[in-house]
Amino acid sequence: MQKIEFDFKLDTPINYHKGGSEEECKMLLLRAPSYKNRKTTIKLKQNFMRALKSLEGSDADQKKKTKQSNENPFTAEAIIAALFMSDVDLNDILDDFEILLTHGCCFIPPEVQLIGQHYNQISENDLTRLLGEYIENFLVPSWMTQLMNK
Amino acid sequence: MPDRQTLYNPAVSINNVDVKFTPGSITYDEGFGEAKVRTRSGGGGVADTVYSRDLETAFSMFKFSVRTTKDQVELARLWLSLENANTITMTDSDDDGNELFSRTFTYMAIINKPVVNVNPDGDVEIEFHGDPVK
Repeated sequence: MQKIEFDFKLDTPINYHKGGSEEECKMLLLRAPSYKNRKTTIKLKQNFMRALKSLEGSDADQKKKTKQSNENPFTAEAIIAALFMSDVDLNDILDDFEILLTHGCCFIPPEVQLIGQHYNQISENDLTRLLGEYIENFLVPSWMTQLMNK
Repeated sequence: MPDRQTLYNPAVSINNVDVKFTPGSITYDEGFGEAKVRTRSGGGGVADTVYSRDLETAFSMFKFSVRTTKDQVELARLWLSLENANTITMTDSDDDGNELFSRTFTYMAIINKPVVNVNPDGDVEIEFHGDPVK
């Protein structure tokens, strides 16, 4: 069964409003996208698949090894590496990712919806890791992992 | 990027919620307070100055207007009910999303009486006062 939410620890904290003051947030709560996020999630999934397609052949040996060892080929690190090495424009992906996070998929615990001003404070390293983990947890369909291991 | 643009289209959030305001309606004061410079005489035609700050006036001010939509009027009501537990952040970014300017105002309270003008051109003016900007 797929997860419905996970916590993400920020290496660089961001600021948010709390009770009249400003406080540091070191953890984000990520929730699985719902049907109302479909336009953005479909674009993200398609871009991810395009990235894999553009790498086809170049990682045949790795695929073989993964298949033999029965490992999950879609870890967050592998996803980010694939996106960086592919022809897909990572800026487009990050623009879509921002829309997703600021529309009901990311919270400052327990229930503060992430807004643009929070998103802009996330460090580049944190954002890249977050993108990888989000795709790994919510956007790689489970059938795909099974298919890769066949 | 050369400094060739005024702050004309900032984004404002209050208590982690983006606020839509009437363009050109924002004015703010960071709350440094009024300063006073007075002279003193040392005799023999010598004079110098002493400086002081009036801390009575050292509070920040953030004023803007919103259109009289249902959501905005409800938000104004919420900010009023929170007394001085409001936080305001204003940022200005370039087209690539790089933040150029940011100010955060803490412990802000609405000090005016937000009068709702119920007409097609209606705006509500809201004025917050709070801690000086750090």
